[in-house]
Amino acid sequence: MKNSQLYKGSLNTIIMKLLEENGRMYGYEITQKVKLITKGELNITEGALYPALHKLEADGLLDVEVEKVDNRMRKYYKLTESGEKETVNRLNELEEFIKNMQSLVSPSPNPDLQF
Amino acid sequence: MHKTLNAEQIEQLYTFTRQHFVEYYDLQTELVDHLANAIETLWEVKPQLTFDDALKTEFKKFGIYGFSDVVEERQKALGKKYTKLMARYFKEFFKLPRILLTIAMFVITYKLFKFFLPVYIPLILILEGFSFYRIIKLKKIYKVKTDATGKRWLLEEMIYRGGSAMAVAGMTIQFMQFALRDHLQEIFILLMALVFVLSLMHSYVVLYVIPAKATEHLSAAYPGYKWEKL
Repeated sequence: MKNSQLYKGSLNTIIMKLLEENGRMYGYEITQKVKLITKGELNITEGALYPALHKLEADGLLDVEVEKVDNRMRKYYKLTESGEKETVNRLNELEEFIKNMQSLVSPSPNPDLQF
Repeated sequence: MHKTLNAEQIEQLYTFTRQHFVEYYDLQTELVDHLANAIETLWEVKPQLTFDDALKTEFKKFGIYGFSDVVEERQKALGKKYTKLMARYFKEFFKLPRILLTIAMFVITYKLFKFFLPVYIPLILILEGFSFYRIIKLKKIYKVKTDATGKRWLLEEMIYRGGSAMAVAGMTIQFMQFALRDHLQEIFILLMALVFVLSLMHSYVVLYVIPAKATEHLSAAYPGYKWEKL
């Protein structure tokens, strides 16, 4: 993953956000979707994605379904009810983080003093 | 028309995951689908690549440790699932009406130990003897199952291994040394009674309750499990 240290903490939130938007997805689909949205800038590695999915599942935030597609079995992930709630929390947290980072990295002039 | 993988190549991918130390069927299945998708995507841009070369390219993306990180994390995740399952049944002993039985068992054990503590030794030997007998029996049932299907599921293995039954048995046997000491403090007698009652409940949960409901829990954890058993 590009700049892995920076992205690492947000991987779960990225996965949950994608599932919130797309309903159910399988592992490979998630990697491709992230690549597509970020125009190839962000590449989730397989070694990071599956552990994250399995952990979220064990925590009861994701549910799984298996379906036969072509000549193989495919495992789909979707948010559980508590997963949906948690997604909202984590997105808020992430947005807050981005906002704070932004003001730290490029402080904008205080709007009260502008006229 | 894009090139897709045929059934024989899917089988080869299963063999490939087994060769790379992925022992359990659910994870094998997920990785097989992942590799198959990746290979098919690669073929869209490089249709001349052979199956083996495409597989090699895609496997490299898992890094130098291959599947081992994924396997390790999967084990942790399922271990957590098993612990949660155990905790759920264990809690039943502390809810009405069963808590009355728990309290009664504890009081009787405590009185008995206070009267004559060495009785802990035969009692624990009988309990753990039964546990070992049950572990061996479960192991046999599991072997028949896997021999019939040829597939191993990690959570199923945890269930039929009796979870942490062996570890708890080891601990209770260690406690036998205290049973022969003279003038043991009150608190110790209380502790021994607690150890005995808790290990009795633990054995009951991991060796009887959970295995009895194995299919139900496994179907919930692995949506593909039921299919495979048909």
